[in-house]
Amino acid sequence: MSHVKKSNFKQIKKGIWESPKKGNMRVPLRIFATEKLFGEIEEGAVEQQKNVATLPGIQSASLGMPDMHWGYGFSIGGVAAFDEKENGIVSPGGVGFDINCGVRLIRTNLKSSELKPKMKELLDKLFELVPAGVGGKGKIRLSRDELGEMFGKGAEYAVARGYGWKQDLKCTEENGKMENSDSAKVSDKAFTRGMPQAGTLGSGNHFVEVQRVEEIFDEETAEKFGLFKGQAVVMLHSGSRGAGHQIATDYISVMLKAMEKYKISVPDKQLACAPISSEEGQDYIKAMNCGTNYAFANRQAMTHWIREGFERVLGRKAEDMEMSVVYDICHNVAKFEKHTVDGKEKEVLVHRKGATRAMPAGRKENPDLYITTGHPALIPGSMGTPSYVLVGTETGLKESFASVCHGAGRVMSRHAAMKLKRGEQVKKELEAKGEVIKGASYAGLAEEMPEAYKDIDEVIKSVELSGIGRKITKHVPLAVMKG
Amino acid sequence: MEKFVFLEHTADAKFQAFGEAIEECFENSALALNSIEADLESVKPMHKKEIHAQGETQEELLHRFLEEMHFAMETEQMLFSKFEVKINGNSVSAEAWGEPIDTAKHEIKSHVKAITWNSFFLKKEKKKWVAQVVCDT
Repeated sequence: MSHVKKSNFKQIKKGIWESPKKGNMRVPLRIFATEKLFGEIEEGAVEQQKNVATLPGIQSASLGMPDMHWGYGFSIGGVAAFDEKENGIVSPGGVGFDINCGVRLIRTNLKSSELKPKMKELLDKLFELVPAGVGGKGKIRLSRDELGEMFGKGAEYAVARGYGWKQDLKCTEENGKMENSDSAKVSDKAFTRGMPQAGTLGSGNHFVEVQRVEEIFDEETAEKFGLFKGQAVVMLHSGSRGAGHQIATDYISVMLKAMEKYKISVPDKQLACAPISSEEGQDYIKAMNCGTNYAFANRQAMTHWIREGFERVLGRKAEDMEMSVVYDICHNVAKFEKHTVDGKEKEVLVHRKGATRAMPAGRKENPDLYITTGHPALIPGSMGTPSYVLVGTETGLKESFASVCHGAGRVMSRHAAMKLKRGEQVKKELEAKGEVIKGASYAGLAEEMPEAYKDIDEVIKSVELSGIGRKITKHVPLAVMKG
Repeated sequence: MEKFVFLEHTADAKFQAFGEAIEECFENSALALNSIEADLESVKPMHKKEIHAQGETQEELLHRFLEEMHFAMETEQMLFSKFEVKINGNSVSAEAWGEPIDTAKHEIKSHVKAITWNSFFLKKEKKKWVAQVVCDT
């Protein structure tokens, strides 16, 4: 895969690279990256984000986050906002198959050193309690009606069934529930896939990781987030499983037909879309919100089992260990938000596909708890590499529709990774670094090896250089459970 | 003739499948899809599952067929290694032969989330049919 053609871009501000509109592009393309990282971006990913710039009603610019890489339709790490009043569209491919793939961070009042002697036992217990892996069946058996309720109520439904604490909802984006949902817009197939998989982790890059807070960059904000140096915390990365994948699959088909009706043509079928105001567009938004709610509920249920694992291994109550949720945030979703475009305030539908919302202090999207700091934007590293907590800035609000990266971003295909090293070797290397690791399959470990990803530190440097976010803490992995 | 080949794709699994007849190209596409998830040498064709799909064009027919195949794999927790495809106008009827996933027996490589439309095609080149598919994994 060839790298970006730098001559097509101009650095318009520090860390912001622009390719002017050309051909059918309605807006320019802007990428947020250090010079080093920018040079490593694949031309295929750039082309995909240029395709996004051709979609009706796109506002300001088609955006690429620093971790952007080659995907399908939108690039992974792609952000775009559309205005309904200018025939703006909604695209399932701009959200991705894994609707509300996202991250949750759970704190403790424990020092990582207190956990160390028990780490292997803890990981084994988490593996036993949190259902994971390919086809991993859930522990929550849902009837069709119950799943319908979960699609509507999200994390609230999980809490009502006894999974986790009521206060967890206040520290979840949207309180763990998107309001504009309708399970009548979700197909039977999505129900069939969703029923046995509720509360499961899934495979691929999804994980539960015990981490140590290694560095604090802003003491005051970190304290408000309940984070301190040397602390043991747990990060959970998962999504909407088969239910979300099926909702996306179904609506891409719907959109392919709708495009003929609304006379929209796209350069890649995966960008299939319909006007926000159309029946097809509205139906997808309601179904997508069901997928979003399902994923919130999944992470809520897994939070319960993570707490249970800690309780059983350490012999203390989760409440005593102050295992509250720091935050829970999506990085594959489309949301209506107010933004200023060309000096005018508008309501736009922001698609973030592999990008994390980072609303600065003062914005109403923040929960009360974080209104003076801005909510934590959780950025998971790849397996074996650091993770970060960031916050949004006024610059980000202006330049990136309040979005930052979502992780490290792949540089190597899963197949290439598996050819390079075997899972057993990856496990040995990580264990030599002092990490404990457990995966559902060795092949799964191989495809997620650290070498398959960009350098997360350089990704975070890009966020800071362009000013779209600010780092608060850096965490290193101690134990990883991979689906 | 090769049945299928995997191509480089950073995020996902991309393959091309071939066939002298369009039916054979469908069968080899199904074989490639299953081989993303596991090494098929260990999958014995013990149980039969019928797969049906419709599409307005041949390309759409293949896409729907693979979607139905993937749905059967996930919801029945099966892997398939042998196929017999019949195409009649806008419809495809297939028999897929395989067995339930058993992690003690099958080495699971990865899990397919969905069949994407990115770079998707089905076309006839001189003497053979070629399908190109990118799966989200």
